[in-house]
Amino acid sequence: MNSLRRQVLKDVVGIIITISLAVGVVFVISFRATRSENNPNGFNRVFLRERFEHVTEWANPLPVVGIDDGVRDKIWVKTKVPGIVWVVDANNKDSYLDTLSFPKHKLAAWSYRYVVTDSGVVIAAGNIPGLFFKAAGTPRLHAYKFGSLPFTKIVSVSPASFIARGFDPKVKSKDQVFIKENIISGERITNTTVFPLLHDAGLSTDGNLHYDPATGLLSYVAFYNNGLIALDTNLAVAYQANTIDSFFFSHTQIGAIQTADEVKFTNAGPKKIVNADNNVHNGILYNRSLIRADNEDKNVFKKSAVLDLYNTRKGMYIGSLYIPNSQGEPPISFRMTDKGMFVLYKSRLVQYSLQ
Amino acid sequence: MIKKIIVRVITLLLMLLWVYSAVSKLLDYNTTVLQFSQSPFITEFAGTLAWAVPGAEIAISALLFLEKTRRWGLYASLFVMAMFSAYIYAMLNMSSYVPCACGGVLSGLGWEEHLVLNLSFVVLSALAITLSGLMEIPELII
Repeated sequence: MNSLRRQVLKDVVGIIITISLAVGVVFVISFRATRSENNPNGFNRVFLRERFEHVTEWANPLPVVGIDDGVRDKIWVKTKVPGIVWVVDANNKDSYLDTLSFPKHKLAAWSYRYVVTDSGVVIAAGNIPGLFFKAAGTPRLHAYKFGSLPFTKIVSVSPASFIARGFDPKVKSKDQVFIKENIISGERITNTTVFPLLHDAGLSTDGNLHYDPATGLLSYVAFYNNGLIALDTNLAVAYQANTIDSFFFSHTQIGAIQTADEVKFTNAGPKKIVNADNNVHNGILYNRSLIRADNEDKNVFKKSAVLDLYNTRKGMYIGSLYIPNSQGEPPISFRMTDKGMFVLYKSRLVQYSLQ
Repeated sequence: MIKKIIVRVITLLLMLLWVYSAVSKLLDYNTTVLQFSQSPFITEFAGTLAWAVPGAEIAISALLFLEKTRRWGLYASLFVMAMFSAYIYAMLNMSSYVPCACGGVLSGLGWEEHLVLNLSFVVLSALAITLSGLMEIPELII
């Protein structure tokens, strides 16, 4: 028995030492990699006095991806089930699941979003590339082929006109450009000069595209640097501005892998996302930044989602607010509407008013 | 006898895991380098790790295969699995971007599932170490 006990003890100690060494190695590597996050970032935020006050909330009926659109009183939430969108009506506090006949195309489910227009909901499937229109009260989809090459971002600027960022056959380098197409006349214009053509599938200049009917301007906010560009609906650049952080250049490297049939582009280093999510409403851009200001407390920043507000007519910074967590859950997605700020969390959608 | 069977089954599972993981990394070497470079913790070592990790996995398989070196192989499996588990935990809690450097069917798993899988193998490795130690005690050999 003594030798049994000795052997077991020897092995237990050996196991503990081995695991501790392994954890220690990882701890040293991760500490070394993350200590630069404590360095100052060279800018400060001005926090507004307004606060988000809870109005009401809805429990998510299905696992959700994010808020795809919000028009007047309604919010369209993309669920993880292709073709099922959760619609929340802030007017009567009701919500329902709308089942759209999802396009039968193998590429559709890879990348799609819902765009809401005055005439109904559109499934914008960038990989096909196609727009699938569902008019209210009808189950069928009407399909429109949007060009011959994929698009990654798209907005509706009128019932008949859509503006996208995507690939165009006239652009021989593998870059994304801005495209406007009228789905009735088929007229198509492009602007290839907004960003330099870097032959990286537009990844380093990737961002979010929004349209604000209140100003008639489109806002494009870069993911990986502080670029903020406004375009009019003819794709002319209205102004070029910057978000308040100091990341003028993308810290995200793009690489490519070439096989016999294709070239794949992806980030070749850790993604440093500067502007994670944003939307525009009534002349204000609400931008969720992932960069901590020098006058922000590190722990508060970690537990909150900071929104920087900008005047979209001039591209000027107004101030900042925090989106609160909800019962320990951080925000996934948000949308500002006439009915206030809607914030989607893992288990609920919350409506806030700005007080 | 039962101890021997359990140790052999665990050893076989570990060998399968390491060989599968190493081969899938080496077969798509360029993608492996890219995936390692995406991790904020190990990006500067991506090129070295792309051959060192599968190399170590093959070496551990060899240690497990031979009876004489099996305990060393089990300790090496425990060390590497514990390190991978700690790495995933650190990525989930300290990094805002979490790429994957796994191979084959394992890449279909999410990070949380991967962590559970790795921890299971940590437990299995520790169990095999303990049982193989007991097998070495003369009075317990039947």
